[in-house]
Amino acid sequence: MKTRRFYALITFMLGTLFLLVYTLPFIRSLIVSFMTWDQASKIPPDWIPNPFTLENYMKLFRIELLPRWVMNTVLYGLAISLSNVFLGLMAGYSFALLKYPGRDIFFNAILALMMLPMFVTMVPLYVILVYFKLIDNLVALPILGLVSVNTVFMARQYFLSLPREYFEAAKLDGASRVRIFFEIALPMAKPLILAIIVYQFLGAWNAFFLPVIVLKSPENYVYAQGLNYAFSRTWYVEYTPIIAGTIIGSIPTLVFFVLFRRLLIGGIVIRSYRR
Amino acid sequence: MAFLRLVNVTKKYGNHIAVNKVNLEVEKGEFIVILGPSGSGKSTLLRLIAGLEDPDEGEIFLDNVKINDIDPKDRDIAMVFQSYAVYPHMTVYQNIEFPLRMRKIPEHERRVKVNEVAKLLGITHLLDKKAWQLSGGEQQRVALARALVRNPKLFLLDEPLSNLDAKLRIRLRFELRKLLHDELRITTIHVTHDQVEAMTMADRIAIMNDGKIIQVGTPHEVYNQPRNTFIATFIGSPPMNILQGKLEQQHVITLQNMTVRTKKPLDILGEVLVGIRPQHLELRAQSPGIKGKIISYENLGEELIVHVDTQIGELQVVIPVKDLSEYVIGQEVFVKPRGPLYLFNESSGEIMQILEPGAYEVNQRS
Repeated sequence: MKTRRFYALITFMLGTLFLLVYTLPFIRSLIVSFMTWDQASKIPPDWIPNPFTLENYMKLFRIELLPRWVMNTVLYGLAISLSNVFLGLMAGYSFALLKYPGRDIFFNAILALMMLPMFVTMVPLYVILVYFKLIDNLVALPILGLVSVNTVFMARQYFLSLPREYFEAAKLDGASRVRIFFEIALPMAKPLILAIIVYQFLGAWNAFFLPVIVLKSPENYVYAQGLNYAFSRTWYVEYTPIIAGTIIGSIPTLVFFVLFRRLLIGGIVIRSYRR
Repeated sequence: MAFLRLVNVTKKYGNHIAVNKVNLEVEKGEFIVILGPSGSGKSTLLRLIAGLEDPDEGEIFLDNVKINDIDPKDRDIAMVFQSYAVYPHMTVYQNIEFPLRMRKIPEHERRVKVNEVAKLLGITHLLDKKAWQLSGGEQQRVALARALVRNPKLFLLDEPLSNLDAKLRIRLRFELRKLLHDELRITTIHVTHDQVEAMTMADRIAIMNDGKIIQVGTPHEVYNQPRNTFIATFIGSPPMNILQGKLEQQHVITLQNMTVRTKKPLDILGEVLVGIRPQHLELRAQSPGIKGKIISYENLGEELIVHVDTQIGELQVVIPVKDLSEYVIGQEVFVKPRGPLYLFNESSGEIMQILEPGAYEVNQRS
């Protein structure tokens, strides 16, 4: 009994430590977003805003292009959510349930792609975009994000986890492969579809590196990129409004998380159908 | 020409031969049960017929057409899976309607057929429910309805009763045969590992082991004329006793302290396996009989299964419960055969001879 309590205490303390480590940056950001830059940059750091100011947020909402950036990001998110759902599900379905020569080799090749760091493909990607005259074109982002390897992998595992009999029964019932996809696989993949949309949308909302490379004109920027642009002066960066912007920017993420918490934590664990 | 014909059908998975040169003929309207232990290849055989797997060798003919290369959806074969595979996102009505919709049958016709088959199976009240709201027995009926609604040429059942509780299983066993065989006269292949299910449902039973069909016959034939020790011990409950015997002369079989003298000489000498059903043995207080000791018994209500330990193996004997008072555990008894004796080859286990009760007499070994 004593040892069990001891371990519970250790677990609790470690848990608290990790919680602090992970949430402290966010808490710090939240506090700093109400500070002046003078106070925020003090060392050792101050923890209570004095004077308390909303100026950072005001600056943010004075940016004329802000709605434009939000709109760009939303469109980007919608586009890759849709394309990932359709292309990812189809690819995953084919890898999981159809039989054709070279299927597993092809799948493993795609998986190997997932292991490559994105920087390896960055330069060739840029060259391709130049060739197709897609630099500084907002369309370039959804094209690059049409379908992610992650989505394909998730979809394949999901379909593999469903009882194979559903698809075999449909086959014997006279359904073609295409009809089986639309009538059986798609409706049974609802939890997966939600998860893909959430992941892709958040991905778009947080995207920074790729947009910086691809997009040149401020009116084409996405949210995170826009913030950085708006408050970078020639000799310095105004960090406090950017921090305020990231706080605002994290609201959709939090809302998503609260709404789809169970789905995201469960990842793509499927709802088991009652037998 | 038989309605369904399998010729030398073989299916391999790597080095493992799941189905090994299987030949089988099924007549139109026949109810065939494929019986075998798990891993015997019976489900694979069913999947080959359905077209869910492709055979490596051999040919499958249905209604005189070779169907090896015909897509499953065009074979006009319906199958009920062990897990039923009732589509969870559809209502019962949509489930039953699905095969008709895939065949582009007009809506009004679909409605008539779905209602008809729902009435036949007594599930009209369930039509608006979602599949996941159903119990196991209800799902099974829906799966049956979905298979029946399009009037398939051939009906395949893959252990459809094994997920149900015992009481329902016994009820449905009877109902399934009555419906499919007696009323609708559909050609049916039913796969099971339950020998009672096979005996009660089948016109003919095909017994599989290790990917091969070992014997095909009516329930009466496979029970009374088993081809080898595998079938002899697989069919019948409790299983047939197999004892080590010896022939020193051509008409005398020695079983421990007992001899069986046959009226006609046998062309066998040496070691032999002797099979006797537990129902064909009696317990006696004195010889002649195989001497042994009662080690335990199982009470089945009407009957007792008595386990007797002898020098040549453990014997199971079925006696009426009313005789229970005559015996106690640990008592020395004599076990005497009074039914057919099955003589099997000692090394291959193949049947060599069946001795009917009148064809032999039992004596004490001198």
